[in-house]
Amino acid sequence: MPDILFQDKLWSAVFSGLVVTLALTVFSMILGLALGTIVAVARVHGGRWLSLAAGAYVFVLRGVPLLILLFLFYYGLPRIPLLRGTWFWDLVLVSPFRTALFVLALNNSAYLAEIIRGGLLGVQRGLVEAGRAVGMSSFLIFKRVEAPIALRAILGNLGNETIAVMKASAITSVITVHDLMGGPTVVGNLYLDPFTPLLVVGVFYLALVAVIDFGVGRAQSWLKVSAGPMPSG
Amino acid sequence: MYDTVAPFLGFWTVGTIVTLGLSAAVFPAALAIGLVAAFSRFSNVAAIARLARAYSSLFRGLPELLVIFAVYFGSSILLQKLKATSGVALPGLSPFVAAFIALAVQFGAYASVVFADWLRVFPKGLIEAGAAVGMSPARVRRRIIIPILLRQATPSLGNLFLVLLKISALASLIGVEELSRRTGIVAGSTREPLLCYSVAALLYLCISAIAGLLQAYIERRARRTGRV
Repeated sequence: MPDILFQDKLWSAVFSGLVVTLALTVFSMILGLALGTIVAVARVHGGRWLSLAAGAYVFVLRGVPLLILLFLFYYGLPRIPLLRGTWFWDLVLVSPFRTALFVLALNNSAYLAEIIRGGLLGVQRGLVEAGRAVGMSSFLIFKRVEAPIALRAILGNLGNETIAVMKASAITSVITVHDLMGGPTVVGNLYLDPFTPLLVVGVFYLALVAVIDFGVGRAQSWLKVSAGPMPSG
Repeated sequence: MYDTVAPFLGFWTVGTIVTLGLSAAVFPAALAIGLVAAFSRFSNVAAIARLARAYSSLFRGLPELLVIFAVYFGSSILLQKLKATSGVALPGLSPFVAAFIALAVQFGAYASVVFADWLRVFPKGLIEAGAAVGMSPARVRRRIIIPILLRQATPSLGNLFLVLLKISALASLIGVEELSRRTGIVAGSTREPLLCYSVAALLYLCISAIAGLLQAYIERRARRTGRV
């Protein structure tokens, strides 16, 4: 049975899958952070309707399983004739990978919005008022006071969310994305051995988690060093 | 639009019940595994403590989909080997049982992290009080630590349950006929994937919303009775 371990096909699927999983994780984190920050700021600083809309966004995207969201975008949306030829079609629905990336980013942005919101709410009011007292604009206060403090507070959560996204990206294999999960599983079915590839892939997922943990640790120590003494009390 | 899905409403309802049933079955099992693993972390035997830590970091890194597939395919290979070597033929795991085992083991690891965090800050005085009135360590654990631990951890455990509800959709991929699987079947036979997956999304949202309300209620009660 372990013959499959000596097949080049398996290893090329593992390594090309590794690249796809990394790409999905990195890009959906970047997109998710951008979207999530907007949603979180809308929730914290927006007016009544804006913060209500942001809350609904988070509720819906966190309440629907990723699998259903993927199927909705992959099987459902292409049935809408109106979307044909629009920028959304050309940008997102054109390939399984892009659909997967978009759905992951959307799902991720809702979780990130909650994390970022928590970080923003943790910033002491006095610091924001001090910024206002010296004549800073709201944007400058956000950039110089709220964002840096919140970022330091939520770094650990961002690391956990990165791991969660990486694990969740395995689900995209069901819409034929050949990621670390999808590619080797296909090879396994080819050789009538669905189990051995899973063991190989599992080791790679654990290695990726170790890399992310290491990166977060480095980022934490680096940010603390460059931050200087934090105001206390 | 309603006419196309109307004949399948019963079929769908059963799927929803299976989704709820799977999560409801997995959750207590995961809590039990999580408690055992969390207590093992603080064991005096170093090997057990290390094993418990390895367990939670292993499943922190593995995708749920991978674990479900591994249990489902792995168990059938194991049973085939057993049959070949000893001639004992056991029936293979049904998809539901395989999903149950995989999810219980994985969420047990998540729960163990939650419990271990709370155990680390557990008030020592309560344990000493139990010992002072002559309770055995096992009794202290059962009568004092576990009830308080469960109340303290209620918010995190509630969130864990909400995650479980959504992750249980993955059981559809090994053939468990729960909400997602049945939605796929209805979508295939009505050729209305957009409508069907929207209905499924709405059903999951309703389930999450109700579970969230329930969580808030339980948290309120836990806070009222569980003040330490």
